[in-house]
Amino acid sequence: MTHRLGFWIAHFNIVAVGAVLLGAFGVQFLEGEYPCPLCIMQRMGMLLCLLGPAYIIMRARHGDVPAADFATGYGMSVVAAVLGAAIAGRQILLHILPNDPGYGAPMFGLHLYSWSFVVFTVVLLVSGVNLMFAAQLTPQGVHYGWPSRLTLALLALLILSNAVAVFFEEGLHWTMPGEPTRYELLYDLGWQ
Amino acid sequence: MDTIIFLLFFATFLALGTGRRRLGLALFVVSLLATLGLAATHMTSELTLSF
Repeated sequence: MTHRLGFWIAHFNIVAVGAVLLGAFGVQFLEGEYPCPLCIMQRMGMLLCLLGPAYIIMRARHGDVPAADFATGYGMSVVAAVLGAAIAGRQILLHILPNDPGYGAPMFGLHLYSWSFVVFTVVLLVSGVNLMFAAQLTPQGVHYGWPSRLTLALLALLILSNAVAVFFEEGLHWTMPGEPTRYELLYDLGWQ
Repeated sequence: MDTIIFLLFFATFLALGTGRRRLGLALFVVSLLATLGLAATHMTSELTLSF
C-alpha cells in the first residue's frame, strides 16, 4: 500500500505546486500585477521541481518504478528547489529593509516571493522524506491511468502557458525590464 | 531568453516522457544552468554585503 502512496504523492506534488503556479497566473491576469524577472525565474524553479515527480510518473508506464529512477526524480526536485529558494531568497533580501513596500501586493500577510520560498522549502522537505523512505514509497504495482495522464497534461500546459505569457511580456527583447509595466510584445506592435 | 528557457523545459518534459532518459536528464541540467545564467544576468550591485 505504501508503494501506491509514493505514486500518488508524486501526483500530489504536481497538482499542489501547479495550483501555486495557477495562482500566480491569477495574480497576473486578474489583479493586473506584472511578474518581474525574479518572479518569472521562481516560476521556472517551480516547474523544474515538478519535472522530478513527472519523471517518476512517466516511468510507471512501463511497470514498477526502479528505485534508482525514484531517487533520480526526487534528486531533480531537490536541485531545482535549491535554485528556486536561492532566487526567492534574493528577492526577499532585496526588500527586507524596514519600510520597504516590497514588490507586488502581499497575500495573506506575505509577499509572493516569500510564499515562493515557503513552497521551495516544502518541496525540499517532501523530497527528503520520500528519499528517506524510498524503500517503502517507490511505486510498485501501480497503474498508469487517466489521472496520471491528466496530471502530466497539467504540467505540460503550465510549461507552455508560461512560455506564451512570458513571450508577451518580454516580446522580442533579450531580457525583461526590472519592473515591468506593460506587455512588451503588444507595446512593440502598437496594441498597448 | 525567458521564452527559450521555458521551451527548453518543455523539451526536457518530452524527452523524459518518450523514454529518452539520458537526453532528458541532460536537458534538465541544461535547463538548470540556463535558469542560473538568466539569474546572473539580472544580478546587480544593488545588494552589497560585507562579511
